[in-house]
Amino acid sequence: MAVAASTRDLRFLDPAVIARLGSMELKARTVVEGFLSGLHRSPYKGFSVEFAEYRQYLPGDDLSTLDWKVFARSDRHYVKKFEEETNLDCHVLLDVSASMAYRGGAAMTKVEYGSVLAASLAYLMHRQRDATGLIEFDDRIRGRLPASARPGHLHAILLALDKVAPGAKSDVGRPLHQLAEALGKRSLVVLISDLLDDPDNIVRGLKHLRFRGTDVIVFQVLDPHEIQFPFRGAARFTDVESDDVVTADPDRVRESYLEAMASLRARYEKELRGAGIDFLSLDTSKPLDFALLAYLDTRAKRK
Amino acid sequence: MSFLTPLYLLGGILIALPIVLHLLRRDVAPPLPFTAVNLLRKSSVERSRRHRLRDLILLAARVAALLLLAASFARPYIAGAAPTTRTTVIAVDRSYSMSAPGRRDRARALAREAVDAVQRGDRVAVVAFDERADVIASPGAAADARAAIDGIEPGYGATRYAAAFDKAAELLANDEGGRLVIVSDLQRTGFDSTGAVLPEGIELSVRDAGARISNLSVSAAAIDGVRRVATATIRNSGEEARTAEVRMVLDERGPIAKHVSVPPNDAIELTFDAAGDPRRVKVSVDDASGYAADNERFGIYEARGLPKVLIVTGGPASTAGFYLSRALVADAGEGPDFEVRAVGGAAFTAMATSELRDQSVIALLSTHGLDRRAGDALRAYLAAGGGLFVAASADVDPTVLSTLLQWQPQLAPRDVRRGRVLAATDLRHPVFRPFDAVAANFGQVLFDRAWSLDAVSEWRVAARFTDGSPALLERVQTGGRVMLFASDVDRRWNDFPLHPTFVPFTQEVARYLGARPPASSSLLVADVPAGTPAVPGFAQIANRTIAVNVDPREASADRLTAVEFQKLVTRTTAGTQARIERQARETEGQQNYWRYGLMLLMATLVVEAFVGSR
Repeated sequence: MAVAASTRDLRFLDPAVIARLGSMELKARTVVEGFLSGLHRSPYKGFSVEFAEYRQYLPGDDLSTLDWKVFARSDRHYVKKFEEETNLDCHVLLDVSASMAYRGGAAMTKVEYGSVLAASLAYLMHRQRDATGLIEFDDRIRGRLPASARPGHLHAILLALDKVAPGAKSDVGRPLHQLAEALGKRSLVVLISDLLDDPDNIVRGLKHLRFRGTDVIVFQVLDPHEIQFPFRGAARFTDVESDDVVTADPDRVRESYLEAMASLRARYEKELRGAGIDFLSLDTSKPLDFALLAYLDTRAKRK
Repeated sequence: MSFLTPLYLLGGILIALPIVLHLLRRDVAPPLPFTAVNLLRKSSVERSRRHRLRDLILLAARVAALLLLAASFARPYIAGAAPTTRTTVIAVDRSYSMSAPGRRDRARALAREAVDAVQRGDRVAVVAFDERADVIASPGAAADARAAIDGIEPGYGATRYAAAFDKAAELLANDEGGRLVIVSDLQRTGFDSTGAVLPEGIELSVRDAGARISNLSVSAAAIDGVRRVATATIRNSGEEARTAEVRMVLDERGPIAKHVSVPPNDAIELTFDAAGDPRRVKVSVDDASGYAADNERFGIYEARGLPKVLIVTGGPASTAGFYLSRALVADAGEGPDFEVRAVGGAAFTAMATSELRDQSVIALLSTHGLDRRAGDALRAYLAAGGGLFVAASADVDPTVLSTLLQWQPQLAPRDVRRGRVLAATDLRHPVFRPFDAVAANFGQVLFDRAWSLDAVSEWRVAARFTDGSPALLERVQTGGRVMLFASDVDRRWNDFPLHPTFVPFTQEVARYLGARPPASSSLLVADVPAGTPAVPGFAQIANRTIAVNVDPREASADRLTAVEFQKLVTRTTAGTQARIERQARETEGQQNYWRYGLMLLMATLVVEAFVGSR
């Protein structure tokens, strides 16, 4: 999905610019407002979450959604569509494992980038009056804010995201299974992680969620160095989580690494889409608008 | 390949740095934190052949760059082969001893032989020397040298081998394997106390142009004005007694002849009557077998009187000037330096102007009895370049003094009676310069009373009292010089005469004001200033008649053998080393290989940068 946003607006979505901003609220506001301003000038008219459309009453519509003031003025029956969209529980799952603290060739670490993304999504959800929750995890759930649409809840989420600290070794599957059991009604789960854990375990957890009727969007956040492997000269590559060491000459292993990374992303793409889960791989050096658009796309499908 | 500054080659040790780094860098893999390590497969870190080649090229480039840098700074040059031509300097003695019968011709013949012995293609230079050495044929063809040799004539100088050696070293400075041929009568006196030094690389060859001779010379000629006689010293430098006629001409009178017999290697003094105050004397002796130049000697009557200091006191009964006169005639065992005379004011006024002109310094200690005529005489004396010393005292009236000398404004000193000491203001002043470190001893003198002068714009202050008032002042007046001492010199206002500094102070003041012994009126030929013919006789130099004579040491017949001569020459390596260094510098300067080294260095760095970026 392409968005023709102006250069001026995209400037505010650049991670290098976002990284220099102050609080998480400011970052989220900048991203979302910049994104939306671009969106309003885009050819995709009518996609705005702010637009409250009056639709003519059709038999079967809930009578409580009728706008009686319009009826009084026009003698016709109209319903407000947005009032129907405030029942969604959105849960943003943010991976805070040690691997997410990696920063290679970008302005932000993956967890910082994920935090801004989570904040932006929460801000966007709040504007749509969706109930929004936040779950931070590594090999277990580190922090949780239940979904709520209360006005002060967004502030609590942004505050929690401001204080995100990298954790230990990641185990994405485990919190996914825990969450699948905990969610009571149909919800939207947004997973933000580098997904460098065991792919089988991750896919099983996500399918578990989907099986429970939850809509799932998966954002795989990767650093440019993880995507391009631009290293030169032999090095002892030390895993930031497991301390495993692989000594390798980048020039000799680059090709196989890029193949393995492409294969991993292709596998997620194939298996998750097969399960009805939206998957988007993000580069921390790229703007956040693709992620937001993906969310809105998924959100729209739930109408 | 040689190097001008080989110490810079030590900089080549730095090549160890890239080599060590290269060795350390091999197989070294620095730790690198990463996330997707599980996607990496292990691979050997053995560097690829391409990388190994790249590293080797880099290493070679860096080592080469360092070596080129060190070599360029060491200033390389390729020393050429030894020059195939060499220079021979033939130094021919032209002192007056070479005027002995047959010596000149023999010297010329020996010099020509030396020229003939020079190999074809070699260069020859000819130097004629006595106290001075002159190049009469620059290094070049033998024909020029022969022509120059034919023109050498004995002069009036004395032999100094050092002059010839220095000139030869200068001419052979850039030659390797140069040769010096000395053609001389090998007089021993030619080696003076400073010695003769020749650089080690110069081959020295000695040709003896002399022969045993008997020489009579006039070694001294003088007029004794006191005894009214003229004296002459005749020296026999031969091994046999000689008899000869000695003639003396006094002024233009004479000659007066005497026959003398002089024992071998001895001298006798002859005395001639010198009535009528003759001023010049010329003594000659017949000696056909010896050196012609020393057969005559010239002398001038020198009135070697002491500089006169006239002390003007208050009168016949006055004791003023006692300490000053005693201080001026004090001597250190060689007799006094001044002739001192004290006169009263009236006597001074009555003195003739010509009598005053003979005085080197007038010391004015009293103005009693001085009238206008005395003032006129004093001013005329100063105008003729005289020196006047005035010491303050109760007998000196500043108004009278100012009137006599026509000083405007007039002196108006305040009579200050307060204890203080003297301090030399300017230690570079000729009066205080001899005191140097002991000038502080003036501080031991206590001055109870002195004049205090305020307006001293006409005066230069040489010393002050510790209260800041001038103590010793001087001024120039119409060609003469006046010094004013602000306290007295008769122990009435101070105890200065009792201190050790008093005698040297008064004598230095007298010398500064012009009381110096007259200059000598006799010169050697070698010391004659430029512009005056360097021949024996009478010459007018700076409005004075001067007797010019040959150096009597040259009259000696004491000679050396060639072997003895060689032994007396001091060889030095300083010049050789300097010559080698100079040649190396010149060669390096012509070749300039360091520039090519730096250009290669730049090219190497470009290669290094190019390969390193791949």
